[in-house]
Amino acid sequence: MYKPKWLASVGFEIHLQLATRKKLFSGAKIGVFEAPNTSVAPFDVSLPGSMPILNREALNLAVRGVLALNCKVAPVCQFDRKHYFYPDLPAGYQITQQDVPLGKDGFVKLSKHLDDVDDTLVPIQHVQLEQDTAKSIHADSVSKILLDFNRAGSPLLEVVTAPCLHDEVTASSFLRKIQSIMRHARVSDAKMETGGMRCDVNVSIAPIIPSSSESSKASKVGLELPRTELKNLSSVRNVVNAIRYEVQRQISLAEKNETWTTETRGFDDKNGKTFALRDKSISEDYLYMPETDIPPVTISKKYVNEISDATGPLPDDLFVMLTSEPYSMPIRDARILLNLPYGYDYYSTVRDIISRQDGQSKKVIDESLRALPTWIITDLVGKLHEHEIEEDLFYVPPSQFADIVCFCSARKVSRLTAKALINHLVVTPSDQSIANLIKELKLNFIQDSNTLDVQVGKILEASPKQVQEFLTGKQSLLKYFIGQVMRQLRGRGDPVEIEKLLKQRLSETLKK
Amino acid sequence: MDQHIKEKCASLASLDAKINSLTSLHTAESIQHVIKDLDLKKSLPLGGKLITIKENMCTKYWTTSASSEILHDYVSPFEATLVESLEKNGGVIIGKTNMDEFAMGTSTHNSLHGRTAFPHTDNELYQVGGSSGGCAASVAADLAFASIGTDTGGSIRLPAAYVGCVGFKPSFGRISRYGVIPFAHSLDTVGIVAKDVEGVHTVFDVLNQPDSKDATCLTLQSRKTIDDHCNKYKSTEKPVVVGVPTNWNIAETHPEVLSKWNEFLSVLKSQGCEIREIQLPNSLYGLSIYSALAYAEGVTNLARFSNPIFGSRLQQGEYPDDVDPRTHLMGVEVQKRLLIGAYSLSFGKDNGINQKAQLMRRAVQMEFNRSFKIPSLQESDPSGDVDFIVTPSFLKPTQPIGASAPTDFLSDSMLVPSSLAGLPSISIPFGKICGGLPMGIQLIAQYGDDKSLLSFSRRFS
Repeated sequence: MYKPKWLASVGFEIHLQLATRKKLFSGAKIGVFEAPNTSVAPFDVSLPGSMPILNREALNLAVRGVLALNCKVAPVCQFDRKHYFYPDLPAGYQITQQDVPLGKDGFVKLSKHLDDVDDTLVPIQHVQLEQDTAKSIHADSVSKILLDFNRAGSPLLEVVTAPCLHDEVTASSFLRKIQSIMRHARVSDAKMETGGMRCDVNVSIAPIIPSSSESSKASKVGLELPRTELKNLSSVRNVVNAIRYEVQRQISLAEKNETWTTETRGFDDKNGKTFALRDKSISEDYLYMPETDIPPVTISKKYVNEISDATGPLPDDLFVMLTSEPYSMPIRDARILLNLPYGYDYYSTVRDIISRQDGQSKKVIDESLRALPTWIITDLVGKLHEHEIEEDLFYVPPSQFADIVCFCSARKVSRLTAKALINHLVVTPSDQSIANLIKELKLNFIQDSNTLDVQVGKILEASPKQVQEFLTGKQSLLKYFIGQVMRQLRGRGDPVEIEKLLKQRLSETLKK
Repeated sequence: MDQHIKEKCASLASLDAKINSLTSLHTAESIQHVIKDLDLKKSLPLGGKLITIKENMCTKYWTTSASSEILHDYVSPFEATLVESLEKNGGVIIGKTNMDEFAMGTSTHNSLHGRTAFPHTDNELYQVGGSSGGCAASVAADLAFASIGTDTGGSIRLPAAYVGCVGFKPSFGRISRYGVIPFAHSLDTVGIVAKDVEGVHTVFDVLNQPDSKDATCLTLQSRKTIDDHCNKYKSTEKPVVVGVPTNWNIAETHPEVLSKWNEFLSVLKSQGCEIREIQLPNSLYGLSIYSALAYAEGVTNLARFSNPIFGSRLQQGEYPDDVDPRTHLMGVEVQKRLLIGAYSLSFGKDNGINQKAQLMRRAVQMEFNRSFKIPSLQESDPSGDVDFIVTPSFLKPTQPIGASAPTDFLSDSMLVPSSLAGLPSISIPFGKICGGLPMGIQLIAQYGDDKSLLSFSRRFS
């Protein structure tokens, strides 16, 4: 039986909350985790007679976002009203940009080294600035909808792509790259879990028609089958799983020769399946009309250049920088660091502190800087994961982290002690200096030969069998002895010194 | 002064009994709190002057209903900028005035506050026009020194003309609309009714200010630019040139209106003005353009009233079915206009109704620009040599309550074109016609030339 192969196509409508202090038009502050309906201005609930005033900070951040996505910036910023009725939209219309989006024809670069997918440019169709709606919560018992207007009128940047991605892995990389770009550009925290980024995904399949002729090897793609829009996805992982499930679902239907219509579906992350939300086959007439209460704002080349100049480095540039002199970070380390939320921020803050430490020799500073990436991506991240704290590097203050790394490089504490300190700060955050913590927790590095020698002696005495084995050639047991001594000293011993003393004693024993 | 005001407020209700111009009003008791610091304000521009404002202007004190059942108990948590300005300059707001529901209409008649009327010849009650009918009637009845209303397609000038007062619609953007419930937000203009032009001018100087809360209100910088621009074309030596759009004299013009128009032109000639015939053909489509555009804007501005926070009667279970609150709580005229407006934006898209109307609107602006001496600042249209344009304010004067005629729908036809172009225009009373009914003459100036228009009009009223 002839079974066609399928080409899946995925497109995104991404909504990013801009990191402004106030809302887009109403002047109300943007509150985080506040009690419901405590940050609401008259315009946010469309009280008659209220009027919009464009928040310039929102325009600045939006232009920054548009530039970070390599789009052409429109010569004018103007808005339109998009009409539909829903409880979370008090005006009966949303102020958005339909006629002249702020940016268009941009792209996002994905590369093997940084993003772990084949090098590609993902085209961005357009980017627009618009209002967010109120948050609606469906109270489960009765048929009631609860509305929180804290979010109503907040500025959103909508990023739209054509269905130009064809597998969920690239789609996932693309989403993470958007998050990384927006964070580095300080446009949005792009955190899906707290609503900083929301994704609607279009998924469709089309049959791949293999070429019938022998001469041409190229196969053609047939007509696209009805598209599904996936909404209310709460994390990048859910997006990936939803795409994978939906593509499979459509393929199985198509292979059974069943048809379906364009619809909107949600994703249940508990059972990993998509489910129907509402029928989107009737396209709504939004009665678009210009928002004349906000006179168009001219966007000059000078203004665009000012915004561009003030934007910090973006991940692709940082990757090149970190993997070149003088940083010379290994590619793997650079990639992991740049993909951590605000990883570069943390790294560069700690790096600055270390570089400016007086009282440390250049050797120690250089060693600390060289070891810093590993300390962050392995030890700090590891401890955060271990204790199930979210990936927020700044959880351990940069100044404390800098001290830990320096102390270790300066051999004031052992590696084990350094890790223990990180662990301690993750579990019980404290604003004490590292020096004080060491004293308090009695974690001083023991380098004193006499103290160490006593321990070395004790261990050797307690392990006659292993000493015999070592003397007959099992050199690897040296590590065992060091480990045992360190255990006794609760990791505070200087392993270099311990090794020296062990060798000394063992060679003496050998002579006997 | 305080005593005089208290006495006035004590008698407001009875003075307004037959006219029904006021929707909310102060009594002798309630006004005491308002005027307790009046002595300090005596020297201010509006020191102690009694003002009424239209029912679509937000106040924190009374309800702001826009004469609609859906807002019958709505108290705004903020007040309009113009209310603040009036009070800061010594004005005493003694009440709010009746209007057509949501400013949609020309009769000042609604189910919430009833009908406003005004007596003429033999104390018979006549129509006041609309939508700022209460504004005009309250001034004509001497309840207030001046009244603030809105003019979208003639809504201040028509009522003022019907009752024999001065009605001024400034250039779009001169007076802040913050806190004014919108009907058609690209046309709505706050305006002033008073007995004479001097009264209008006094109030205009107070309200003609920038407002950072309204992005369509001209900034300080824009005002200076516009004023400087207009002044460049002023000359005291040359005679004033008055333009007369003879093609606006359509068949439905009442013969007595026509003769008054000619009489006014003779007065102008005797004062040394040059009269120039001009052609403004696109303006004849004004009412159609207006219906297509204004009603579409009405749709968007009234969309919010299907929001659950309005229509409290619905919340209280008075209308238990699932129907949109607006069906129950909005009048027939409003519903009709919303349907027409929605049609022009959706199905009408295929015929390009809205787009065509927008292009025609631009054509109307262009023909005005071609006539005026002062060239437009916004567009590079060719200009002419006219200082002011003179027309009647209506095709026929008011009629008694209950009377109607097939040409009633043309009542705004002289007034709509200058609304479409955002131009400053004023209606001044000019004698009586048809056995004692007020006649109104309209003067129109170029955009931004408000001061000159008022100065010139002052000669006749």
